[in-house]
Amino acid sequence: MLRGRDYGVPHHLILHILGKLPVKSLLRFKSVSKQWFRSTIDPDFTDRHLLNQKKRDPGFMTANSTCCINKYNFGIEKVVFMDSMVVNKDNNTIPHCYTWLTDVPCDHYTMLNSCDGILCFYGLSLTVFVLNPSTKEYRFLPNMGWYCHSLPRLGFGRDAVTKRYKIVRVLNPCPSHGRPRGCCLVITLDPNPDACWRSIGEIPYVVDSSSPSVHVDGAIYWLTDEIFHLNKSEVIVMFDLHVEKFQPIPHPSCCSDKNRGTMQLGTLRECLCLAQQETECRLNIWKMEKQQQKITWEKLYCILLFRNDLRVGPRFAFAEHRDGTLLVCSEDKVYLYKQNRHVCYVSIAKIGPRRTTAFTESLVTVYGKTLSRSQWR
Amino acid sequence: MASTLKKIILKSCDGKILEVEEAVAVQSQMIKNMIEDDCANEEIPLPDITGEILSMIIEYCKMHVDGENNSNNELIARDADFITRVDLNTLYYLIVAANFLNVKSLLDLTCQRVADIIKGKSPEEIRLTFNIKNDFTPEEEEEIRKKNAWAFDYKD
Repeated sequence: MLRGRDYGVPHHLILHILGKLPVKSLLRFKSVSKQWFRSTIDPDFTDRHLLNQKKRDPGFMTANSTCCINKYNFGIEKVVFMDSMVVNKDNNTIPHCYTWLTDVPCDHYTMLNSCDGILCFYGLSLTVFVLNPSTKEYRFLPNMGWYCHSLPRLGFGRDAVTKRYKIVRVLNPCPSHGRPRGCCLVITLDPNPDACWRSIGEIPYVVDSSSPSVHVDGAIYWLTDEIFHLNKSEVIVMFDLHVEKFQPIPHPSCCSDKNRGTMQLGTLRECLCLAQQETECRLNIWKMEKQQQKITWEKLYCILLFRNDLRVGPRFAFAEHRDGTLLVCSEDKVYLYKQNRHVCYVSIAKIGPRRTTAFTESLVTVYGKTLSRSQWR
Repeated sequence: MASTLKKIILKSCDGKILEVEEAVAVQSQMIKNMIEDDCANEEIPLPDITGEILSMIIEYCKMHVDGENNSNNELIARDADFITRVDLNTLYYLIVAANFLNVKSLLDLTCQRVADIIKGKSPEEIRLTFNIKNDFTPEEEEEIRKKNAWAFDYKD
């Protein structure tokens, strides 16, 4: 028993302990007492818990939709490495956790990169919904309406000042639909159930439709469209989520003469990273450093790929463990590297097409409902 | 190097006196502040910390000072070895002491250990562990449980 003399443990120390618990335990412990209940829904506690979670080793979350003759399945799967050393090298297996999201109507969703434990999806009919798979809370956002005849280019992240999450939609120019210039819409994820998309006006950038956006520290980053942006100083654009303005940022030297299709943005150590497939069998990962206003890029990893199924694209994601293991996820495998050397790979089940993102669990609320019918296994 | 060999004298609540090298003692932010303010020249009384707990904390701080040049993985392994030897009740006193002395890494380590021990418990077991009174009405409790019913599946 943890009684400490005659009195209980002071609550500020209990909060330290709670801050290190998995989300599932915290949801169960909501019914311990009123004080514990209030603590678990307190935004400051949520942030503290998130900070602790980010210090842990991240996993991956993959999403896929499969369509059989008359049955549509849409699900997510969590891929967790408890410790890179527990991977069973004989049968290359790791724990799986599938979820079929049967609460969600069929719309062939695409998943964006996760931010603070929240996943954001957009469907073919341009519905957008957000889901915290750890608390099973989800919310549909208002439809984007008539604006949407071109492929969506969405970004999702957190305003560093107001601490609110925002979803950003970039509409590239589409002269045939009377839109000669690109424009941008933003929606804020707040308790207001009637929140709607706000236009922030025209923008002089065209973002690459095939490369996913990445959120780092209050800003969303995109690779720009190669044909539109011949100017090589505009390879990466940043959208500050607070001031809601775009600006190009310096990029690593490799971007100047290489095909943008061989590059993908990501994050490591809370910094923006750029993965660049230099050749069929060589992958470089660059990390952005920001000191005051000066941006520099450092080559963090240079790894040799000996299998040809590892390539940048929608199913590509990377993450890093505290012990220095780099995990690169592609198609149906996760490859582990230590000090640029390949250690082993692990197969993850292959169910239809999937998108992959690095993932950390959190208590962050989306002010929505709880999934009730979905199957968890 | 005279300053690193300076000893700091700590006195536990049960009268035990420990002489600690300054380099070890300054792992405690509280003691570090006292040294900076020139208040650590005489013995420092620690009213809520027993000699047994204080020795453990010093052992931990010494381990971190000695292991400064070791790899991160080695330190993690040593931390794990240190913390798994401690039972739940001692953990409580360590948390209170680490918080008072402001040894951030030890507070993190001890809280993480308690979290690892309790994460699979039921709310009833938690109330017993922490000596907490259930102040919900049965209806309120039932409703909160219902909303998070899936979290009561203890499989993982």
